[in-house]
Amino acid sequence: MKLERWVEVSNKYGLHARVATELVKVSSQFESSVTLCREGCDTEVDGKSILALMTMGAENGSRLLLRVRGDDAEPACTAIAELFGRSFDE
Amino acid sequence: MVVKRGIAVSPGISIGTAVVLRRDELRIRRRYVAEAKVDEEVQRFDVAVARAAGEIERDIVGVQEDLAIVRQVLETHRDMVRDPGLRHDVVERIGGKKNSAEYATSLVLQGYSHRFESMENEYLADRAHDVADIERKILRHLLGKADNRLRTFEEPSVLVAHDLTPSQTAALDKRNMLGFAVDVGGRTSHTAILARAMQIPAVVALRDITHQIVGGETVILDGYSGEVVIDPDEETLEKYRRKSEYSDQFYTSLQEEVRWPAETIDGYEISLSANIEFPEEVNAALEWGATGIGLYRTEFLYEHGEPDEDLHLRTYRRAVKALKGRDLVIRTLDAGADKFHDEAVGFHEPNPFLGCRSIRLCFEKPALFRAQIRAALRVSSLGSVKLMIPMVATLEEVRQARAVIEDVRDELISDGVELAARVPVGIMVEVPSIALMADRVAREVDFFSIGTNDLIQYSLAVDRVNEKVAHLYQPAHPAILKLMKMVIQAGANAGIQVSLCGEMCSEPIYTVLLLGLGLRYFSVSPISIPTVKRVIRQVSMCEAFELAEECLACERAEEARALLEERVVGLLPDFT
Repeated sequence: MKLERWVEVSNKYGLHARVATELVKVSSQFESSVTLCREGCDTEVDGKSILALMTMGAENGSRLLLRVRGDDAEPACTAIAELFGRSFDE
Repeated sequence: MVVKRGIAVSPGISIGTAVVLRRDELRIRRRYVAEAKVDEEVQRFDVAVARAAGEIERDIVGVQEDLAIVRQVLETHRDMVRDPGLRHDVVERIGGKKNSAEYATSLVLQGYSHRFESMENEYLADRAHDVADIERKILRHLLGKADNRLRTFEEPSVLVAHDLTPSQTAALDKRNMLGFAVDVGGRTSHTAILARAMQIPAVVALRDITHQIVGGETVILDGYSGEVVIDPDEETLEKYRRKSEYSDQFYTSLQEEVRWPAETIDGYEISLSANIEFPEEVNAALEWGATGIGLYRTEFLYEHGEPDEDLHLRTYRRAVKALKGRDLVIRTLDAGADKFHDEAVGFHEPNPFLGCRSIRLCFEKPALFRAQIRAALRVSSLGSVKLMIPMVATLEEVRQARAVIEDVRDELISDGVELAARVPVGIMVEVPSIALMADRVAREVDFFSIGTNDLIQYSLAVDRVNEKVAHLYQPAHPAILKLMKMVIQAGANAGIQVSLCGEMCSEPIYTVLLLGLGLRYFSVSPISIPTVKRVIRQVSMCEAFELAEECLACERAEEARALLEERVVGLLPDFT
């Protein structure tokens, strides 16, 4: 199964270390592959790689396309979108 | 006694014994492996990663409850070590290029480190240090080296390190820890964040402090000014003990005052901006209440040779962004007698203060000058940028500098680069000849900034670091006051801004005098803003004029100085 969804970074310092750590923690709980892609940019970034997430330089307000592929894509997509939705509890 | 200056990132003053935390020397050679050994090499990498991650996990368990920030940092490190992208790249290098596990790890992580460094977001750029930290950790496990982290201190200590890594900090004994002094880092480095969380003073960006200290020396760490004094004499120690007591009380009482305007009791609003050297200092300056940056020194960019336009650009962009529309006065290269200067000029000048420095050097090396101007103009569309030319001595130099700036501007416009409609260009008034011609020059520039350090030095023919004559360096000398008054007057007549950015401006003893001489734009070290402001808020312009007149009428600097001392003691009773 493949799911796609737009999410928005709403953390003051963007996808910084703590936020990225949290994201990796949640994405890694699922079997599905998770990628993120900045609006207007073709490079897909591995949602389980903290180095890739932090170096994508997503600042506060950036829109990202979340793509989840795999058997547990549905719960994975919901869990990740929810994290962005509540600004990673920041 | 040696004094070093860095960036103050956590307030307070501490005096203690230096303990140097040496970096593990891990030299990685370019080593290759045979095809048959590839799997074994990958396995070595996996084992090292598992051990490194395990070590971090143990550190996480040991973190004290109240240091949540340390735990978060360590969790990030653990994820970096286990990063699937990192493994993918390393395995690809081992398999494809036949690199050894050490070599592959080092190359891949250095690639990430560079990627972080080039990021515009200052916070993320600082994460390059975290990557270096985990690189050392994985390599240590690959090489089977023991962990030589220092854990306990027998006496109150100031920790000196090249870069204090989060894993080192987590393992530290906090009881006898008085402060941190490190070579690298900025306001958002982990050392800074941790020091503030632990409420101990810290100074970063000291560049080579680890080479200046062997360990065991007495060290004074001033987390207000960014100064570190190695082997202080008794007099200096006493001064700092007093300052420590005074500062702690003074700065805690300031929380509220920081937001108040710098206004005299009769309603004259004074502009108080800050002098900085690194873009990382902008936020600290704003926290102290700066209205903008009146002097941004750019010499540090030239420390490792000629910087290219891109390096200028990235650095300036950070400063401009942090200022969010407030003024940034970028001073073009003001190199004096240092290594870069000798190399750039091509020989060691016998008298560099009167030699080919600053704007003279820039005219000698047009490509060097243009790279800086291009970058400064390119960031002009992002905020309020002004350019300031140092060391001009003649009207021709002013015209020549302006011509270069105009030319670069045209070049950028034809390249289609977006620029601010107007980028004001001003000069430093620091050579007596230009001060004497201020009325003429004022018509050709957008602002003046009086550089008192050099103006005094050149006017009185005194090198203030030469202890034989240092006592002759007198800011309150009637000749200096006359010159300053003349320049301020000339600026006012021509309707241009006149600011003062020399050290004299940061010393509260001169504040009332400068107001009286007509100065309205003060540019001071960030830490001096609250003190200078406190003086301004207690005087009227009328009494300031009177004091200035009295000082101008003095025959000797000592008389003027006595008048000023008497005045400042009345305004800042605790100030010594």
